[in-house]
Amino acid sequence: MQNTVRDYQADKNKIKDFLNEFEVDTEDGYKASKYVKQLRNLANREQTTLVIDLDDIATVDPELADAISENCRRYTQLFAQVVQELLPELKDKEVQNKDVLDVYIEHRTLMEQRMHHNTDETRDPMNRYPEELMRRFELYFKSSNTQKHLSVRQVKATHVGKLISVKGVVTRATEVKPMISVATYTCDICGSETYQPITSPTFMPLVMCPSQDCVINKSGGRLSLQTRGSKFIKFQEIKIQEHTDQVPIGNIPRSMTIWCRGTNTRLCQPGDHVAISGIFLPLLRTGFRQMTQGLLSDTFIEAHRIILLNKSEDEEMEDKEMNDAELADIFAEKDLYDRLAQSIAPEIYGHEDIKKALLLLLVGGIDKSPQGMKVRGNINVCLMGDPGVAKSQLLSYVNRLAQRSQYTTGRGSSGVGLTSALIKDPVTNELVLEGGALVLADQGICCIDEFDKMTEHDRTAIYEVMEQQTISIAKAGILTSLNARTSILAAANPAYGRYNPKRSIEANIQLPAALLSRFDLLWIIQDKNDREIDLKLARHIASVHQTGCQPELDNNQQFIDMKTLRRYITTCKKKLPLVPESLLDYVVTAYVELRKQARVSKDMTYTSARMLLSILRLSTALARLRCGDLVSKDDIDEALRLMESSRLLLKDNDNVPTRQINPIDQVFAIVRDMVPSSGVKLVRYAEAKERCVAKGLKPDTFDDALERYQEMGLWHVNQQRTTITIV
Amino acid sequence: MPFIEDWITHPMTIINRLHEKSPDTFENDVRNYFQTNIDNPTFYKEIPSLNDRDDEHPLPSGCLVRYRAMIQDMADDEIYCTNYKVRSNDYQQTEIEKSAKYTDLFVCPPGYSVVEQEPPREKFSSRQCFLCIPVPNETQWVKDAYRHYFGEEFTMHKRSIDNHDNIQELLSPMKRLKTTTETNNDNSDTTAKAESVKPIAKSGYIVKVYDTTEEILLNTMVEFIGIYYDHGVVKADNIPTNDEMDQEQMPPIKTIHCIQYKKLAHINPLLHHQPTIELDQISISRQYILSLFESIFPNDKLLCEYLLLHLISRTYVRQPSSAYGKLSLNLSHISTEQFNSLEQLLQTILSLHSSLSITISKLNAMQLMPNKNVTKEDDNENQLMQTPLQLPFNSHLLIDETKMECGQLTTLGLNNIKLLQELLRQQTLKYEFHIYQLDYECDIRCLVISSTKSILPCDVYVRYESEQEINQITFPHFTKEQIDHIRRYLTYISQQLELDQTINDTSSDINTYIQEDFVNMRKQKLLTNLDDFHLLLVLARLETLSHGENILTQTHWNQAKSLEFTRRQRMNI
Repeated sequence: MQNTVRDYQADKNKIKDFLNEFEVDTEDGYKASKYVKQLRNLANREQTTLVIDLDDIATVDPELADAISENCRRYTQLFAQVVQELLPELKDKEVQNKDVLDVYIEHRTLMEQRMHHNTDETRDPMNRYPEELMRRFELYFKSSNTQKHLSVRQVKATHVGKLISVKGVVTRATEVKPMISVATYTCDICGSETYQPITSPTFMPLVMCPSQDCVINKSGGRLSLQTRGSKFIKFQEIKIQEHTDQVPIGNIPRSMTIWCRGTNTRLCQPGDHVAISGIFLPLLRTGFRQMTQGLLSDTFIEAHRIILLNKSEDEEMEDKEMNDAELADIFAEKDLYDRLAQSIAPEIYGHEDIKKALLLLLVGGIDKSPQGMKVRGNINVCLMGDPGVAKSQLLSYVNRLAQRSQYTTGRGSSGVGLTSALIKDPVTNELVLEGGALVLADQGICCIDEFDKMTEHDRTAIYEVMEQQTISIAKAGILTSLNARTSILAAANPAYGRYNPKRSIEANIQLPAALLSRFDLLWIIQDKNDREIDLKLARHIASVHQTGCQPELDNNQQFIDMKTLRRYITTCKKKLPLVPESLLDYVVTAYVELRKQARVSKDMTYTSARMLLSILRLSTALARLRCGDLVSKDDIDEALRLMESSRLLLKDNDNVPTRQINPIDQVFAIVRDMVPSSGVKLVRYAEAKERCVAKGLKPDTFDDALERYQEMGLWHVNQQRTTITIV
Repeated sequence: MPFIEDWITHPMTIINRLHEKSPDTFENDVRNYFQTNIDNPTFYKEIPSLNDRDDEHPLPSGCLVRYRAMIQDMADDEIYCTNYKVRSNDYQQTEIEKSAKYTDLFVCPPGYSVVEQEPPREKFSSRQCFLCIPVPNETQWVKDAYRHYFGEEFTMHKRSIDNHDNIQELLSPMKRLKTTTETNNDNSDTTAKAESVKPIAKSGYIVKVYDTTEEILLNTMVEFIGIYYDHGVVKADNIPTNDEMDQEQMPPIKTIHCIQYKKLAHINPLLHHQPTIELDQISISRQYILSLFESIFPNDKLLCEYLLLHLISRTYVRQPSSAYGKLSLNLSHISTEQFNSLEQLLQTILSLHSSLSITISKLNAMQLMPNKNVTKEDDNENQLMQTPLQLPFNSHLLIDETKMECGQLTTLGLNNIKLLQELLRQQTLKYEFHIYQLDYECDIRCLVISSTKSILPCDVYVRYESEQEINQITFPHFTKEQIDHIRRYLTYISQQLELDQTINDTSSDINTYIQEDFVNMRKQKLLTNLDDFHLLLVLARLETLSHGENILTQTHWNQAKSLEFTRRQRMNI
């Protein structure tokens, strides 16, 4: 609190010096006076507002800066006076486009000069021109960057009179209305003019003429208000309310009134997220109301600066990207990938691979558009499974975790509701496009529960979104294409409610192949009995009931909380890893192999060229998750493993959880593992062969593999066939 | 006490005196002064209670009151100046500084006038404002009991009636209710409608609380002791000037300036004097309740057992998308007669009970989601609209679905259904603020009565099965004392669930036993769903508590299991 009375005259001089002398370094190394330039613009009417940065003042005189934020209103006036005094010196050309008030003022000044040029009688203060009338600029403060944005409920009585910053959602905004700031009256007897500066929302009009003539003669001149001579400013009242995450649990959101004047009006609309800095003031009243008002005072913020935060910016402020130190902390932990996955929906036990898939969905791949063709980076996942395997919980967790997401159920939403609808505006009778869930989830995730319950007709609406990431509309004369760059996370029950292992997979899924191929991963979760897992499950649930929280991980590590997870994902999304050329062949081989398998087993209706893209997407997402700049072979392996394991759940009798690697790849893996980590990448032929045979591979396959990979250029076998050099 | 009259009828004089004596320690002095008085039970009784007042005998303005209420809405903080000065009009111009705490208006002694101060000289402070209403679902007997205990001098005439039927208290509450339903049977529909659609009259009070040390949440029950003012809310209103006419039409909401408050976990008056019950009392009361239930549902022990467990259930673990510990119950295939008796019985034994009847037309017509329209221009309208679902914690809600018919739901109806579903599933209630919606935690035990399986997701569904038609329901004879035992038992046990954590320290034996059991049940395909396992654990816990114990044993676990499996057999699940 500022207890000592400050010397305002001294402060005024300081302000003058500050405005004249404050300089900033420009990019090219020169000094530029930041404010003088603006003042010149003000003088020439090329600029109407002057924003003074408290940070600038703090660099020159921190004490003054503090005083300003403590008693902001007074200093606004002081600054305005100083600027007013400075302006005439800076004017370097005659001002153009005059408005009514300009003409009016000019007349009065001329008249005054003519009438009083040789008398130095002091005029009655009421009849002098108030500075507000002459002032043609607006002056605002910008609070220091370090000042935190308060929520409405954090604004307390101690903030009265101070410059504060508040954040919230605009709930309503009045129309912009003219508000009188200086009322001008003329006397019907003596003709002299009287001015009344007005600061409060209501005022008592003057009736009796206070001019010397009238007072001395007791002529009782009546005053009448002159609209033309009065000065009006734009005025708008805004109400803001706390944002959802600012409301403590079990409390009602609070609201606050903001007054905007001049250029601060019309900056926001109901529903906008805003950060407002301004002076917190009690409302002053005059006359009768002051008495009834009693001891209470209504408060408002006089806006100095309104910043519109669009939602994503707002979120970024909340969940800023992690800095390097935090990232290092995260990376320091072992098995980051596993831990991240486990931290997704920790209340759901098991399903590690599914959680990994969801993690990749959250991170996403990279959009590419080679030669105008669009290849989506978003990953679509479909979870299909027996009732009661926590599909919906997983969905709702992802919905909560993702920065932007929409949750719908298949039965509740029509195709129109998902894509977009044409609505007739009740006021203008014009057709308006209104975005559905998919459009709203642009750049985010759209979770669709009960996907199987959707009608076929509605489901087709999604086809375009899932591959092209747009929604095209041709309705009632409106032809347009909306962006819908969303990842789709769908959950569905198998046909007949429960997965029936006796039927073929297609019969169980009963979704068209066109749709299935658009999902990067399709998980079929079966509720199987397994003593080990069941026991763990029982322990997990029992502990939830006993302690009311999640049991800790086996190695005593805590789960990563949702906020950190969200921030980590945001950080990961900034990375744009590339697939190195050397790995392309590897991917291609893997894909060819998958195709071959599909042809053999014949039941994989959804193996198509899209799979190749899927592999790339998943491995890019994995690389992002590591914050790597290059996709590694391990990423591709993991992507393949995920794809594989999503299907393996289908194969009831096939309990081997490893991928059926073809022998040739196996050879490659074995040989690669034998490469010494340092020195020449050389493996002895005999040793390698021996190792492969030991692993149960035929010598023929070994030779086959050698040849195959040599053709690809991955390694080189010397003439004598004694050593293999890895390229 | 010399000021015995003084401190109740004119607390402000005392407060002012304390302020004059020593302005620095004034706040503590006030607190201590009232604390000592309130703590004395005989003095406490002297304080008039607003709950027992009717409009015909208004209290004088400025007196001390008690108010048992629920926080229905929270207003913005109010900023007031802490001190003001008055100056005598005579030549001496003596200035007196006065405290502005606990009051809304300047108080100016005759011959003095208020000194206007420069704004920077004023000191501001803020106080929290709550809009409170009497607990909406407080049952009649609770009100009567409070009156009986505390409000003697103000409710003489009421008490004489109570005395009158004191002798045959045995069945009186039930008898009384029964006669009403018999006559009302045909027009029960209309009364129900009036009950549920009725906009909540603005019978509340604005309570202004100073120095809140702990957080008071929405929908908590609080007992306030403070100074009552009968002038309308003094509001420093906004720029658009209200017509004075408007203000006259609106009955002004009156104000209480709170001196002391106490959060109430329950409002059962019987437990105020005797906060614990002995163990043997518990088992006896348990028997009483079951026998009462059995008189409504003869030959259906299973249903009665579930009903009991349902009444003492309470959410104890909350997870982002689920809540455990609740046990919502769905009963079907019961006759109107049974339904009515059940409702009467619940009203007689529970302290917080309300009912909600849902039909297509009602769902389409009424807004169940509490909402506050912040976009509206009119500030007076800008209050949270209470709905039948905005209830304090630990309430009981009877949802009557028997009159549901086929029909089309509008958007509103669909939202209402969704709201109810969420309430049953997660024990959260959405509140609409028009810019966004917020989830609030709640704990409402829901009993859904339907003709067949309910459309709402309940934890347990029991179909009533009996060979004979039930036409006449006769309750066994119980003395008032016995009924009081039941009331005490129900509140006490459900209270227990939260307070006592020892139930968690299940010895590892029982833990492994349960886990083994689970694995076996999985193997035998008895349990397919994880939710079923959650349900079994909750049942076992409630079973334990209902016997007044707090350590889970094998017996109770098996009891819960057999209960659940018998039910499933009946339901053919």
